[in-house]
Amino acid sequence: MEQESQLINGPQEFSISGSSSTPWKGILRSLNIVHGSSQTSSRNPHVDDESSDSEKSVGEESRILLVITPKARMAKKVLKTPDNNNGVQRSTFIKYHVQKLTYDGFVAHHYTYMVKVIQEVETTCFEQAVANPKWDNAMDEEMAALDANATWELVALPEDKKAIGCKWVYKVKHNADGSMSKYKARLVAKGYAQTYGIDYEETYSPVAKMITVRAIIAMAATKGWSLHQIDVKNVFLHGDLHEKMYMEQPLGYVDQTHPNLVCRLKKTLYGLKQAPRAWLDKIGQYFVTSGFQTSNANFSLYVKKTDHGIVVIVIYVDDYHRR
Amino acid sequence: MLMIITGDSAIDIFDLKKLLKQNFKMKDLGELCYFLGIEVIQSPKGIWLLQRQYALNKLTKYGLMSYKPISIPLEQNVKLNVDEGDA
Repeated sequence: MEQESQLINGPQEFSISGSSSTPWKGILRSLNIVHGSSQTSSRNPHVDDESSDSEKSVGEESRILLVITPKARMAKKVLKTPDNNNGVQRSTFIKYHVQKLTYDGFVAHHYTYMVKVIQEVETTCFEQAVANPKWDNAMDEEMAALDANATWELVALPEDKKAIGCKWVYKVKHNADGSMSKYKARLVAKGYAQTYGIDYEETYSPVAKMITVRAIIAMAATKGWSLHQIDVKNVFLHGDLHEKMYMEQPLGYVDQTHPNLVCRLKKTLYGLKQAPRAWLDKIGQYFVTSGFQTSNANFSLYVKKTDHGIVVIVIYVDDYHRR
Repeated sequence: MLMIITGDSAIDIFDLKKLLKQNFKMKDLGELCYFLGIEVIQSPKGIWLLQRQYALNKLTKYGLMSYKPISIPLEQNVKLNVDEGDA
């Protein structure tokens, strides 16, 4: 598998697999797909006739490889794979069903755009990222931000607790014209390893129902109020964590003097199940201390009466933009 | 996460926005003009809610952009009855 992924992630060839979310997906639809002509797409029947079951499964391997290069090329790779059953190294042809994508049919404007976009390759692997100064800087920035936010403290892991893992996620941010705007590294907790009742309790986030928003708009219309909107950033990062959560030290930033300690999380982190809920609790508390009252019908509705009049706040999740 | 703020006290709304921006990382989007796929047009006469963009997106998605618009897609003057037709 490793050999394969090396082939696919090689510097010259860019592969698209169905599951990964690359910025290409939309672009791909507009590309011409040229099918490889001379490649065999079906397995060789002679191999099957004489071989055992395990060999069959090797012989059946037929991968789809998308090659995107400015110039179309053929791809045919020979892999040395150890045969598990008898421990003998044998050569296997992995028959790539090659689909080539070329930029040749593009108008100059789109060509430049594509070239700009593919120049920046996102990595999924820490070892690759750390070797690249741009990603290395991005990780330094993220760590500085987490430090400034006092996201965790280093403690010894209690015996009855387990530390969840974390992972670096790398993303190239593009400007509207396709040029690179920023390298962003984000530390994400593996929230799926959290156990209900131990690592988290409440995850339900009370956000506005459509009917509440409509009622507020109807009221604004009759009363002649103006409506304003605010976008809240980093919802995942500002919440206080009430549960005792332990996380392994992030890869590449392990404290050299205390490598065995773990991070006791004090603030929520991306990926934690309770992160949005914790944020809503926090902002709710903030509103209450500033004199707002929560609606009994909808907890995401806050109202405050002042000397000058009334202020109404509705919180809702935008599922139409990012995230 | 988004917030809609309204009320009759412009001063208090202004102060609230300022405080929120100091305490949380927020971006003031100004007057509400788009939420959950609904366009909002505010005017002294009232507030218009329209789903033009939503409809356009759906039409594009299903490749119906070249179709001709018609004002009433349903058959007119049909009287629906409780006792008739399939349940």
